[in-house]
Amino acid sequence: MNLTRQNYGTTTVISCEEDRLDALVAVRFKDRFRDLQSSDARRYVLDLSNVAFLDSSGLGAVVAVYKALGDEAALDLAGLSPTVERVLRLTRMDSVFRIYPDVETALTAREGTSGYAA
Amino acid sequence: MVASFGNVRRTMQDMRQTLAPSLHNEAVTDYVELVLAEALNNVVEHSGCAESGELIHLEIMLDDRDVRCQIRDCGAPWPELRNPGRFPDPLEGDAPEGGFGWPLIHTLTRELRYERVLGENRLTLVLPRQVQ
Repeated sequence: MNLTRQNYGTTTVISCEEDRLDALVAVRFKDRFRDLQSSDARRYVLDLSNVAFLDSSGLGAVVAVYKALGDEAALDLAGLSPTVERVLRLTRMDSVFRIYPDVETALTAREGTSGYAA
Repeated sequence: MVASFGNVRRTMQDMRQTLAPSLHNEAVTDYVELVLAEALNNVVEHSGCAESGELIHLEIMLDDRDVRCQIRDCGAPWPELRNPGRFPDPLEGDAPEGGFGWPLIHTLTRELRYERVLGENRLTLVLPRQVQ
C-alpha cells in the first residue's frame, strides 16, 4: 500500500499510488495514512488520481480515516476518476467530502468551500 | 477461484478485460465489476471457503438485455438475504464506516436472488446492459 506525502504548510496532500482501493488493501490504507499523519496538518487532501477502482471496503477505509481525524483536521478528496466518483455518488458519500478535480484546485481553493469545485 | 481478496481482484481484472469489449459501456462495466467484487469479497469473508480451500465459482452470461451472473460456493449457508433497504445515511450523525456493500449490490442489480441448493450457496445477480 503505497501512499506518499507532500506538505504545504498546514495542508498535507496524501497521494494513493495504488490503482485499487479495495478489500485487499483497505486495512493497510488506514495504517499507512495514520503513519503519514502529522500534528501540524489542519487539512488533508487525499489524491486519488491513480485509483481506478474503489469498493465498499476502500470507501469504508477512507471514511474511517475521516472519522479518526475528527475535529483535528479536514479530509478532502481530489482527482476522482468517473468510476470512483460513481461509487461516492451511489452511496451518497459525495455529500460528506469536499471533492476537487485535482490536487492543484484543492490547494488553491479557499477553506469553507463545500461540494464540487472546478 | 480460490477464495481470497487477492483472487477476487485478479478475477475482476480478468473479467473486465474479457467483458468490456462486449459491453461497450464504461458505466455498466464498472457496475458489473463493483457488484461482483462486493459479492465475491463477501463470500471470501463469510463463507469459510478461504479457510477450507473450497473454490468459489463465478459464471457470467450476456444476453441482449442483461448481464446475468451466478456465484456458487460450498460454504456455510446464509441466514437470509436481507435487503438493507437503503445506504447508511451520511448526513445522519457520524459518517458510516461500513455497510455500503449490500446496498450497492441491491441498487445496481435488477434481480438478486439467493438459494441454497444441494449443499451449495447460489447467488444470482442480474444487471441491465443499459444504464438509465
